[in-house]
Amino acid sequence: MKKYLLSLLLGFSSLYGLESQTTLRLYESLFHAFVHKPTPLVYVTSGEYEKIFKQSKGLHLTEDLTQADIVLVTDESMFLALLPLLKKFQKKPIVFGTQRKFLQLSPLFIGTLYWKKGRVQLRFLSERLKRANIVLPEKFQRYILEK
Amino acid sequence: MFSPAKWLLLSLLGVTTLSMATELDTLLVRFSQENQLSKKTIDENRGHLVLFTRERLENMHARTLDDVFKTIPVIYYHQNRYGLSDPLTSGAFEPYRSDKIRLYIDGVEITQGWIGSGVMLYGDMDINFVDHIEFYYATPSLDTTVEPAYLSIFLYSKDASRDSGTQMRLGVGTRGYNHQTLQYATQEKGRSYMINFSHTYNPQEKIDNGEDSPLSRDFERVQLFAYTKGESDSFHLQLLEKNMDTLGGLSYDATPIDSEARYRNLHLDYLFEPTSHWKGQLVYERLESRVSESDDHGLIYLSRYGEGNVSGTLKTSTLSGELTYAKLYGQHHISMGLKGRQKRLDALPSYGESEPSVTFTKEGTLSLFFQDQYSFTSNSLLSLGMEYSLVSRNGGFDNSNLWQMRLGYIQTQGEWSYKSYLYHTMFSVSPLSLYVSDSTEVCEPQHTIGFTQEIRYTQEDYWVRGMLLWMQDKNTHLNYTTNEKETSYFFLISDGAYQLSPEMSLTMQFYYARYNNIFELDSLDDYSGFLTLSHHLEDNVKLYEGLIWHQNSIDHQNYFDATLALSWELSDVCCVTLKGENLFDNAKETQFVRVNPETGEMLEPLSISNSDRRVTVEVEYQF
Repeated sequence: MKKYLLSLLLGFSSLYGLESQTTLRLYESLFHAFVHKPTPLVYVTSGEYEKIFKQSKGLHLTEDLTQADIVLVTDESMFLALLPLLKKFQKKPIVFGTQRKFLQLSPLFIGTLYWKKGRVQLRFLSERLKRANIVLPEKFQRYILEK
Repeated sequence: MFSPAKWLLLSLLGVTTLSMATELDTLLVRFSQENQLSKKTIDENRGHLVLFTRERLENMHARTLDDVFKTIPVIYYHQNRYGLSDPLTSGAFEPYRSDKIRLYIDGVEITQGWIGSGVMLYGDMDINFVDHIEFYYATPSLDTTVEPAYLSIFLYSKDASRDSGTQMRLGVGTRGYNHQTLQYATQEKGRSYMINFSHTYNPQEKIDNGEDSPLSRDFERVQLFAYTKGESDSFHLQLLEKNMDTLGGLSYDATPIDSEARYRNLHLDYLFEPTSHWKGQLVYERLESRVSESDDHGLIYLSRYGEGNVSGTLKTSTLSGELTYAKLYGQHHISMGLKGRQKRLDALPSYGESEPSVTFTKEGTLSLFFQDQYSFTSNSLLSLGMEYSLVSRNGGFDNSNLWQMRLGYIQTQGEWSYKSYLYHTMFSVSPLSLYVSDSTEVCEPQHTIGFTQEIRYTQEDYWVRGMLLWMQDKNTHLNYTTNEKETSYFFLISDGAYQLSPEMSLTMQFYYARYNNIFELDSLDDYSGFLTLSHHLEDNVKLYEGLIWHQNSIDHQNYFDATLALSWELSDVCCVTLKGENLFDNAKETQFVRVNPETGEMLEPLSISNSDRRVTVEVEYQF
């Protein structure tokens, strides 16, 4: 309830803004399952996610795509602009998205976290996880699709 | 056949079938819930809020606003004798009683001109385009100029960032009921676009009135909602056409020879925020009501014009403009604003042989408000708001000076929160009521004072709340048929929700009300409650059970409105839903007064349920 009082005085950045605490907890949990490093390097162009990830002690942001362990894609145009660079990389970063259609957009996406009917959905594709040499913990199994 | 008691028992037994949830499942549920509550529009500081998040609406399989409205205590959904959404109807001959319920879509009021409330046409609208709904008792905080209200309803549309792409929904049901909706949403270069089209054909149960031709309230509705939104501006377009049979219509004894209407509504609005502190809006609305009514004994309100028939089109329009300023000064959040609105009667239908002379054709409102929300400690907030409105009318009717005052206090302590508000509100008479009345007395505004309190306890997986509301109306507009000028009400509401597991949630509510001097009654006690349960039977199969109960002191009869819905996700893009509504055919009914037009004697009233028993099958595609 306390946050309501504060939110009144501080205001929100956008109509459908993300709640930072649980967003951070969820993405930290996901990205640590992808990359076994104390602080995975994340590349993101969305100002909203950038603001949230800056509060994290378990994730670091990078502006250098070549250094990134994970690329979080929030819109299609951003991904299409990055695609030529990503194709050139020998060691490709893990690409994860926030819209369902991204899984069809490119085989580089290993999974997405998207909204459907007011509830968030988590999806991974088994074949793409194998290709990226990612073995997810048991608790992720129900979110992995064969195709 | 299940009785309501068995239904309730089975619902509760279903709770015991809990599934094993992992830490990740729980985190995903928390993420969904917290992000739904973090939306800018959802502000607990505004008043006593009853919130329907997107997930709750989806769980309920709510397709129209009345699916949600029928669970709102104090003011439940009702239709009037003309088949229109009119939750405050008494069942008597008043033209429309719910002008003190205000409806907003994306923060902009739907006025529907002479009637005064958008609920009239939009009260049962298709809500496929809606993301979440906020109901506030009385007038919420004045962070934008709002009309005084008993209940303010805010609908917010889906966001293109979460609902991009195309969605199609097709449904068929009992008696030939069918609906189709098509929606497309996208985001391009920082702007969002959405268009949502729906068509509904709803043939309903016929109502026996003792004549060869029973009463009908069938309707066909076409609805279009579209917007474009950027960082600092938005534009909305809404079109609605509804062709309907108007039940008892203007017939004294509910035996009309002809009773039909066609409504066409156009709504356009433009919102802009030139800086982070200034906000403006321009709104245009036009309503055309084509009515065709006839009865061999004359028509209600129109007998003075002679013949017992009316045919033609009533046209009204509304133009509104608003400018508000809001800024944080230390611990004071100051907001102030100015609004102008003009309602016009553009055309009247003809009444038989006579043409009425119309002089009252315009009503203008100019409003000013100021509000200070002072956070004097990190967990205490004091809110003070004042609004002045000048209502001016032509045709020799008096002007009205209206004041609204609102004092609020909010305190939070850990999991506990407490709210209390004191209101003084003055309501203007709706232009339609003035128009149909012979008396000049009805020009007097209604004074309402209210004192409300709420206490809430929230834990990670459940919350419970208690509300006490007391209100008193002086020079009340509710009692058209009696000389009683003062009414008072007391309400007790207790509600809560429990997330039993990531796949199972439960909501419940109990409500008691005591009314004094309401309609023709010295007092009236009203009781109701509901219990809903939503759970996944399998990963892709979801079940919803809802039971609403009503009783009042007039006859102490129990009414049960049961809903059961089973949805099956055939794939990521296709879902099939089977839904049954009012399954016991025992939902709450409204009594409609009837009078013998020749003798003036009261006839036995007609008792009509607001919703029919209906089963629908629906297919939904997303691509």
